[in-house]
Amino acid sequence: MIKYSSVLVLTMFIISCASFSPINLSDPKSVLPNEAIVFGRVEVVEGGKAITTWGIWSGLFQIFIQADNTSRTIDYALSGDGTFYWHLMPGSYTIIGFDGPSGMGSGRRSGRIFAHFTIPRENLTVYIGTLTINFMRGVYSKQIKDDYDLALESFKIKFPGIKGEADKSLMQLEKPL
Amino acid sequence: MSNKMQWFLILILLFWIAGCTTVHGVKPIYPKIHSSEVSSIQPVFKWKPAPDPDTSYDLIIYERLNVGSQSQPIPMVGRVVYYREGIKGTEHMLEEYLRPNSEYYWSLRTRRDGAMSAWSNYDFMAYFVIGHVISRNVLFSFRTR
Repeated sequence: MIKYSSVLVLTMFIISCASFSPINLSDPKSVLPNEAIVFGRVEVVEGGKAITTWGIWSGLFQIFIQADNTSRTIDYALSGDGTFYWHLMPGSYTIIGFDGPSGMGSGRRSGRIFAHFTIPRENLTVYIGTLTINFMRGVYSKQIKDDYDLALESFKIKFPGIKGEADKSLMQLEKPL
Repeated sequence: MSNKMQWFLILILLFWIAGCTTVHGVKPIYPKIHSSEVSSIQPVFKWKPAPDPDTSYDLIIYERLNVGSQSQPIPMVGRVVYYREGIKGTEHMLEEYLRPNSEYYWSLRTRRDGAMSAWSNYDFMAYFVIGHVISRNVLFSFRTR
């Protein structure tokens, strides 16, 4: 009985991990030949201070990404300063929005982002910029920044095996109506 | 009314203390503020007039997305599916069809002498014995049949 339940738990664990595999780059060697490495940062600022701790007590801060040719969304939980390394197939993508702790009490808050980015081709390393979500007095603003030099330096330290420069294809926020 | 429904209503009354909805900006008449169902996929939107008769209105409609897990989906304001600006009067029939059996968010703003207001939205607060729910800056929502 224990044996069967162990197999079941292990299977469920593998399935749950597999659902995140398309976008979470922890090992650059896992990048498939038809994919590109995508890196950048989501910076969350609350009352002028950058938030860098997410976890059990504060709750996860998630962003939701959608490939423009599909209705399926992928959620990605921020960690640390919000730097991310993903591996994606060429195409157009949109960071649709976020959901995270409210900053006060146990509530949560979510919001719309709609930042578009494009991966022009495979076998590429692409920097897409820093998306800053700034919470101030109950409302939020969003901004895209270009921190290329700093981000590339961190990238090379983290992944010394990946040589060469990175292309820049910054996220674009939709034009406000 | 079934017994289950009676007990449900009794529980709601026991735990619900107070609640209120506050609309900021142009006030909607049809569809109603929250999750109302419209019978047409080409509905006529109606709202209360601004004090100044020279005011025109902008109308925006977004699709509603459900993101996150299927068991606990998070509603999210999606792509813009309809936008018209400078509408004279306080009603507007959509010039395009919406999708049936779909959920949408919508909002209005005023426009006068080139100046625009913020998009209208609402705050919702409900206080219960065991806690409270506060939602701020929520767009109006509706679903098609």
